[in-house]
Amino acid sequence: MKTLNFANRNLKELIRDPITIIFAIIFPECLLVLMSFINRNIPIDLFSIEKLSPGIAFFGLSFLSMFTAINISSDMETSFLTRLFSTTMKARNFIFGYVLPNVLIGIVQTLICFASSIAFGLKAQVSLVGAVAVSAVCSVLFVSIGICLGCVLSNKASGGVSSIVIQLSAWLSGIWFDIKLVGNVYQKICEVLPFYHGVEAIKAAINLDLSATISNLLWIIGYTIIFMIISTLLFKKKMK
Amino acid sequence: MKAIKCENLTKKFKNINAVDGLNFEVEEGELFSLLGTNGAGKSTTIKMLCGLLKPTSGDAKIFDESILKEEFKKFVAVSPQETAVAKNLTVKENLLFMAKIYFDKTKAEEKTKEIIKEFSLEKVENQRAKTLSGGYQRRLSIAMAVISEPKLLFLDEPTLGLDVISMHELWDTITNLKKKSTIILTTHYMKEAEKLSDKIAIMKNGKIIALGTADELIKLSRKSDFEEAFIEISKENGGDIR
Repeated sequence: MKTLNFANRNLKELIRDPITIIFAIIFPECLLVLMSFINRNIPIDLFSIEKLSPGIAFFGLSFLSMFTAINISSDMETSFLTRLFSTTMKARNFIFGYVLPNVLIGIVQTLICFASSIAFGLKAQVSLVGAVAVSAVCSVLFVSIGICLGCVLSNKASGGVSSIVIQLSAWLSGIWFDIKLVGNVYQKICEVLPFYHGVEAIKAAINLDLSATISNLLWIIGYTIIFMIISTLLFKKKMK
Repeated sequence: MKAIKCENLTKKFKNINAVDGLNFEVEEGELFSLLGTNGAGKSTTIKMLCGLLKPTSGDAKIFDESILKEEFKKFVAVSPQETAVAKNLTVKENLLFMAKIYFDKTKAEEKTKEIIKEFSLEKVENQRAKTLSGGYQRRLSIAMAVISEPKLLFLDEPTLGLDVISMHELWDTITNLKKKSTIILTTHYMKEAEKLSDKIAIMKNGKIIALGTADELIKLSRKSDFEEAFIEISKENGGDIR
């Protein structure tokens, strides 16, 4: 009850902030439309809708780290969390209260992205449901990164630093170019970080490639567990 | 019954004793003010008493529950110095959110209606908190603390930055709250402390240097008004009228 109550408050805060709508929905949609039109005139395999759509879906999720970081740092600065820390709410109520609304926004983002992609030629198929589920797991990763940033940064800094996470996830995920073309070191960096595996897991889920979905998803789950532990420790420290 | 009983309550930050072995008691139903210059240890004391900071040593009992355990939190609520409201939620949503932490849905809705009436927030109940005036925001902030029906309420500089009309309105609100809760108030406005408090403690360097009613503290300092008495006591070592 306490978790859902706090999640409900966070959802309202998020959807009533125009920044959420601009960055979660409008910006990724613009990129999808732009790249699809470019691909129609200059066909490139990387920007075919089957490859572009999972990339844009994943890129859209990276903004969840920014929303979460700003939400938490703002709550800290306005003493809203100070008030709540003196109540009977526990760290788990706060953490899941931040995770749940952002995952919901992540699912809506992915659904909108896939719906638009269908208009640009992506095959409407049942496997897209699995891809939405994979996206939901990826969104937990970005939220947990956002919690870590929100706990250690000021409200002003959290927006800037989380945009670095967004840039990293864009450049190291193979959305905009094939990482194999760049070279060994770059490719290895991409492969040990979770972002590339996130895009590959969504692609594999759409293609019903179960083994590739699971192997890539394990990277995401592993990193999510690490960031969840760190974010819980940081949040508990803030509570004291 | 004792609302608060401090037993050698101490907080050290590295080598600095922010709060240095406090021993004082607050009776149930009292409005108790903590005064002191900046850095005297008021905020640290309050943070420990509402569970936001762990003491380095010593303890305090809130209605017989130790602050070293979690159980005492059911008795307390805090209205922080900064206006602590959810800015994109309406007044009603803010209150309902706080009420749902403590009560089921039906009781939370009842309490929300009740508090909106009690704090005269009807006019702005559907307005988002960020669009409220400073006075209304502060009133909402206190209403959010009161909605849980706390036995012990901490008000940290509740009238800071308010205009004189809003300040007087809030004083009336606080006076009414005295009937329901024991209140611990910190303020830099001497007139506010003198008008509202049953007892006043003056802190300096993490210690209570004087404690008594406003009249007793004036008498102790041999000054004619409370503000002068506070300055005199703070400059010297004060005195204890306990």
